[in-house]
Amino acid sequence: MSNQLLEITDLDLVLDNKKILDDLSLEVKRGEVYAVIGPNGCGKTSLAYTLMGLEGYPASAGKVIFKDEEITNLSTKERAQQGLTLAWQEPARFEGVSVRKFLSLGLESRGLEVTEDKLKDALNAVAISPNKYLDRKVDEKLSGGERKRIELASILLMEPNLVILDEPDSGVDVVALNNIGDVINSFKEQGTGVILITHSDEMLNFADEAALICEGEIIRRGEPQKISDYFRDDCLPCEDDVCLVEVDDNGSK
Amino acid sequence: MTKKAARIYRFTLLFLITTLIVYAYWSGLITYVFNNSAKLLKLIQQHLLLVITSMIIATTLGISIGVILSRPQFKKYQGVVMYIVGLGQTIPSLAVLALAMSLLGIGMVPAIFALTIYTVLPIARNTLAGLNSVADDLLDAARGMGLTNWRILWEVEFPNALKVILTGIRLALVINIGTAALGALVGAGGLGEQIFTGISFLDTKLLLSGAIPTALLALLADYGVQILEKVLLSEGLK
Repeated sequence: MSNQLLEITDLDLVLDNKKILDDLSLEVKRGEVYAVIGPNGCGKTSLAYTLMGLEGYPASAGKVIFKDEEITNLSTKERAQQGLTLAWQEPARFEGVSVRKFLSLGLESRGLEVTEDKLKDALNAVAISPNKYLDRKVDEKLSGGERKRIELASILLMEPNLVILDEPDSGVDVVALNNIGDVINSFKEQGTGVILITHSDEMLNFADEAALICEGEIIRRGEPQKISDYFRDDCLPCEDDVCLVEVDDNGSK
Repeated sequence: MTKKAARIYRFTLLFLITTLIVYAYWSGLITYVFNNSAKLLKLIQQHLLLVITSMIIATTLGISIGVILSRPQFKKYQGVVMYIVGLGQTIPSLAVLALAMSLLGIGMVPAIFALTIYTVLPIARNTLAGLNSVADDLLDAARGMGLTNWRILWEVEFPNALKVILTGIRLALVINIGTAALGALVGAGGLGEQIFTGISFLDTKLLLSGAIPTALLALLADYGVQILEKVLLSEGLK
């Protein structure tokens, strides 16, 4: 078992003749938290969708190797069964499905045993009271933040090999933010690799490595705090206002 | 607004039925019903047998057709198959019944066959529409959890499509109860017997002793499925 978990090589994504991801390469080791930052609309979520193999996000070039096997052409379901999961920026509403059922479904899909204790522990880990929530439905009566934390609990239970967290901190209150940090740490302890898509410096504290994406390209990578500082201080908005371009040391374009 | 309209509609129907009952009393219907209650009960039973049997077959068939056509590998046949299923409804019910009789003779069987053909369309169409309307991001989320296709169909697609499917079943049921009255024409019995005999003898009380229970059955069925909707549907989907 090699330590390398995910290896993305020269990944391209073209949608409607627009290049969304450009020659993107990235490597994640087991138990490593890899942060991906960048301005809105620069391809962070598209990267997550392409990695999950969602319909409508077919990689137009490049290779994705997961646990030493190429998964570039696998379906979403197959990738999930291999141990690749995504925590959605906006978790879907599973109407009529109770929290208990939702968590159990995830466990079953990974062939894991469902026990009441497991479910309770997972909910406690994300600061959701099991007694109050286990029999509630995962529908619109739960706030976005609650659904996010329940989704995180489900992923924790599924013991994936790699989890992509798409802005796990958005829409979540400050108290729960610490819990998300704890969850990220428990992923690390499990040996689960984490791709952390985020905007917040607090989340970056949990990362081991970071990459800055701009217009679908990784323009800089390295220590999270340095990348974050660079992103904040040294990037200028591009002309179309959605992205940034790199500036050199003299501060000129 | 639609709820208000439905209430007015229901109220008007109740009013009409009350008027009918008063009229019925005047026409001597009540005495007739008391004297012939055993016969009428038997006809109601026959009518229900026709409706229930054909509804069970049509629902099974309709939902299956809808489910199969909504699968990605069969999506391309949606148009053709729905057109063929739709033919059953385009042809007038009496003609379907006549065709069924020419194939299957007389009795319950051709009536059930014709009723099934006639009611499978709304169920199949609504099942398909309901399943097609399930949001893609929800399906992606379910696939992202690694759920099998069966699991996704059962836990995610059906609950979300249920409202539309049940509307189809309700529509089919009401059409079915009304059309089942035609069953009497091919010797299947049912409340149609009273209606058609009443028509041929110009006997109002006979006619009404068949028509009123048919109308009541349809209303009752409509109401029943609505209650079922309330019980089965998840809060957020009502």
